[in-house]
Amino acid sequence: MSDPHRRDVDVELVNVTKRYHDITAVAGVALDVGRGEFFSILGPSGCGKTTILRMISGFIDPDEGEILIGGRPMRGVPPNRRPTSLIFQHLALFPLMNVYDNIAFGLRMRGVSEREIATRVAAKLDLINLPGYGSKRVDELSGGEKQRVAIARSLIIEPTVLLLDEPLGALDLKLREHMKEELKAIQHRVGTTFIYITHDQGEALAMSDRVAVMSRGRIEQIGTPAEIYEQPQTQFVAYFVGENNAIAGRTVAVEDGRVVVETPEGRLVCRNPERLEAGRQGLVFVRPEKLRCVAGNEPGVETPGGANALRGTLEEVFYEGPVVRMRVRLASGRQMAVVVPNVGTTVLPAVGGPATVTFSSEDAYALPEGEP
Amino acid sequence: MSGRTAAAVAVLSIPALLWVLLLLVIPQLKMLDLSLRFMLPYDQVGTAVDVHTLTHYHAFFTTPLYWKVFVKTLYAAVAVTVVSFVAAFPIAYILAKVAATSWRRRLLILILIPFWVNEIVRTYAWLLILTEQGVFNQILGTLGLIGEPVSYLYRDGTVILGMTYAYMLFMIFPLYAVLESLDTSLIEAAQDLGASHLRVLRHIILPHVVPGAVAGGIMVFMLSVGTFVVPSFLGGRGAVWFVELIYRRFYDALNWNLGSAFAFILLALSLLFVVGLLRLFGLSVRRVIQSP
Repeated sequence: MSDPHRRDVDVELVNVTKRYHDITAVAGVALDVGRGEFFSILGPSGCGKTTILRMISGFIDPDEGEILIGGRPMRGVPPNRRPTSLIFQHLALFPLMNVYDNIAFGLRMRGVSEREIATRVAAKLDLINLPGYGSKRVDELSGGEKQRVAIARSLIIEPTVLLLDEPLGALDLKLREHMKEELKAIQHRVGTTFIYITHDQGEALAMSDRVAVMSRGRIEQIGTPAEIYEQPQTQFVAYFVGENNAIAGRTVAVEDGRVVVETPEGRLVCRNPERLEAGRQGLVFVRPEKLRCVAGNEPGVETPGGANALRGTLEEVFYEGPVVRMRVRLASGRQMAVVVPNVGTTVLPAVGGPATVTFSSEDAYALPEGEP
Repeated sequence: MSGRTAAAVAVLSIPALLWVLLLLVIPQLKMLDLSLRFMLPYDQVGTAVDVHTLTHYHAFFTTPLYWKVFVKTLYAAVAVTVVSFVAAFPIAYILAKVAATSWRRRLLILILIPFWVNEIVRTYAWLLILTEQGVFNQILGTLGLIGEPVSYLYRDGTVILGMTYAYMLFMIFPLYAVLESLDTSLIEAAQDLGASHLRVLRHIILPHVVPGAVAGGIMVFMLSVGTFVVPSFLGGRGAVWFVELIYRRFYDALNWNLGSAFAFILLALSLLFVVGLLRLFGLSVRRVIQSP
């Protein structure tokens, strides 16, 4: 978590709640976004992330709580008077205007002289690497170009914070990868605070300084991408961000930051971030890429790099190019997903043959069992 | 496959083509011919004296009564078109953008129901509302706003009101269609970039609405320039409408030749209006027909 005293805070949400009839879309959300930060709100559709974005941009007002931008309370300030700019999911470029007029729109609304507009639009076209595109019609642009024009149109009014509502959703995979880098680069160049809404964890992890994971109107966890991925604090985050194997069991012993969990697969030792006490129901999470898989499942088989060993049979191998994905069925019938990098030196067990899955106690963690 | 489709289209369009040819093209050509001949006694039609002439068109331009009525009709039709747009736009906007989806259909039906009633009956209803003993005067009298009942009938403003009411539907629907196709996020994007409501209207909504407004404007103008019922009911004796003039040439004066000439002058005006309107907004007929 960032310390608001350490860095300037651009956007602050104080216990913001929004209800629609009897549905609570956003429930007591509190967060601070620092100046120049790339902040993502990640969650499944319907988790309330878009509602938060629309409250920050001023299209809806919170029922409770307060939103401050640059220290100023925003209640009652209409969208056209807020120092924010929103990039819409489908970009909402004005189809009857050319690229120049689209980008110039915000400045014209502010009564800037046409001469200054010309200079500033040209500078923005350079920023997005589309010099000379001013006279193009919007429908002549490719998906990526539209994206960049939308960014320029929003940035030209020099907002305190730029809000992005899943703008990469409509792009194809290749372009999306490219735009991720481009967005990050643009943010680096202009230094504006970005708040980015997405349900795609890949986007959130790759671009953000910090990520807030949301579920059912609440924030589950806020942290750096690495914290979110490596140290989930709730079951929801563990399941939603990335892929995870989960094994339920009962904690039997706690020692030195580690917890021993008695499961149907045997005793497992793992980290204990939530300080579970002995005798609790818990879930042991371990990511597929933290697992190793060796041939043979006799008790004597060597288990490299792992305190924990799960024995079973290798059921299926999916060759995915950069990685090889495997499915191992354990003795109890549970399936484990294993991902190993395709480095060529790994010797894989035969499909249908005995296999042992191992992992270290550092790579797994136990969380209390509850509603996912 | 495409050959068979083309053949099917050709066969299926025969009734429509016959309709247009027999009921539109041939009578119009006959009228055009009539308008270019002298009015002759029956036994001289087709004889050597029955020659082509521009005398009826000449009469139109040299008789002040005729072209004054014509200009008045033109002015009223333009006024009806403009008033229709101003009145229909908020209705169409509320229908397309403000009303909840569940209410939209109900509101549309409410707007449609009056138009199930015949135009003559609807115009009579205005008579009942606006006469000296009418509903409007009664209400104003009860509220004490007026001492003596006022007659609103037989004024130009009343005729324009009646025609706007009669034809506004033809403006509401194209506007509704075109507004419904306007992406709400464009409005929000403009607001977000600093535009006030008025500027959103001017820079985003109105430019988007132009094709629908032109489509509706053409229909309302055509209908009001060619109407007969509303001005003769609400306009009274004094207000002669150009269509009434044509009617009287045909039925009272039995001068079909002059009547035909007037009809063609009106047709020329309508076409000019359509072309002018399209030019003004830089639109093609195709764009307007496809407007939403």
